[in-house]
Amino acid sequence: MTREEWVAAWRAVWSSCLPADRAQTEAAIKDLYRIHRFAEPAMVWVRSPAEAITVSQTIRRQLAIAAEDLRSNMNMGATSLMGREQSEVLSTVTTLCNFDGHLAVFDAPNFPKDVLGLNFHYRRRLAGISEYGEIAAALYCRDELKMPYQPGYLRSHYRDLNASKMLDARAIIARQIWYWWPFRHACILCERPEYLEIDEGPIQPVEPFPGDDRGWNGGRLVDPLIPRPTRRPLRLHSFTGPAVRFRDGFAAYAVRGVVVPPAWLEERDKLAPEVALTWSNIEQRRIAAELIGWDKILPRLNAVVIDKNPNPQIGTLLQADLPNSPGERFLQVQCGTGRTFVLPVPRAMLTALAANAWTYNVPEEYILKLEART
Amino acid sequence: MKTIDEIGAQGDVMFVRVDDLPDNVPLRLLPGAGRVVVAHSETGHHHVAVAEDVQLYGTDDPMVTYLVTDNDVDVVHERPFDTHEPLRLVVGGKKGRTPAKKSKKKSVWQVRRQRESSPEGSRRVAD
Repeated sequence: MTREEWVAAWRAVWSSCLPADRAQTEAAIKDLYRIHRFAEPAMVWVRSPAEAITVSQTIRRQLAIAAEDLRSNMNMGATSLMGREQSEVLSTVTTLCNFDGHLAVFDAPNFPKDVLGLNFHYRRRLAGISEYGEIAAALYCRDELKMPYQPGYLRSHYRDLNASKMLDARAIIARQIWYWWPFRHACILCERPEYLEIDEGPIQPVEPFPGDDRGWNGGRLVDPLIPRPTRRPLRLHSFTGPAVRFRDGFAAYAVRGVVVPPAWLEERDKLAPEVALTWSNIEQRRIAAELIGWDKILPRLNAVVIDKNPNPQIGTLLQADLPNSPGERFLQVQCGTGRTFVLPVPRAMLTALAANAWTYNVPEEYILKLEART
Repeated sequence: MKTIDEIGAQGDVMFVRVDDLPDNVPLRLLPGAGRVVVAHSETGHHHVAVAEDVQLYGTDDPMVTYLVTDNDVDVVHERPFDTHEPLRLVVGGKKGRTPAKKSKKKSVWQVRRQRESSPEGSRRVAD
């Protein structure tokens, strides 16, 4: 299979809204547990990551109560009555209650960390999730999770038989479902969404495909005749409604891969211009500006240009009147990816260069000496 | 991949070569072996420094950390789209371009996070 074929195949998987083949998925999960010498878990199917959180929190609460009961019994002198089995239960309960800690059984030291890393990270984030944005942010990063499943690469790194079987099982799971959270005695499995809207981002170079080391040595291109691989990343994207919706109704709104509050799209005409200058998250702020349009934002806030540097990466210093706060200053600047951002800066800033230097808290000469800004 | 000898920036993170770790600032070694997150992102799109021996030191200032290494360090942005191109922080710099592992002195890079003005004063740029 060529790289392009492999990428296309996984993109099709990523875009799929088909229900999972539950039998096949559960068989793969059981294989994984067997490889790690754990008993088969109870399979808990959920319709969305939001439902997974509810379920996991319920489990957590129940386990906390159970743990407290056990502790109470122990305090009442029941320790001597507690056999090995109860002791193990207590241990498990204590572990599971520590949701952000050593929860997942697959975080065992012998598990390939670099394969697991992202998955683990997002599981942790989902565990402590409180806002729609974080949930959806985790969702669209699923694309990242898929990348390591290239069999040649993984087999070249993990040559032992168990690793190979483990990766096969993980690939089966990845082809069938959305997220999954393995626990010692239960595994939460999330069905794919029922609706998904995506677009392709701009072409960008990528590092050499793992396992495809033609012309490459340790990540360095040594044969200039080998073209550098590129790709067009997939992103959740819809200007008109949810970009992803699950079968329980949970949905997330995203524009060009950036998760935004639902109201921004559902009531787009009510989106206030100052949001495009002051929203706390810079990526969302940029999207707000795109939704409203700079041609509307600047006149409505009486914006004037204080200083414009010829280098768009140094930027343009603007002054605008925010409601209840006239005369605020902003640096409109292009980042290395070609996107335009706006950063609030102190009113004392007189030039775009000074404002840019202030944002990094460095002398202006550092900005002029930058060898690259990517 | 862009090569940096002295000063470079990747999104909201700037890397400035310095002679040595500061001796008047309390430092603490941050976790990570061979792969350290130099800039955490709320959405998980971290900026990560990758090198065999790379170490990251935190300071009392949450906007400033230090990377210490014997080797070139690749800084990658972990996002599948709108990705900032990787930077390679070269061990020897312009002065020597010392081949990795032959340099007797470690390279030290000051890592600065970008900030913006806020009603409270200033805050780290969040993405």
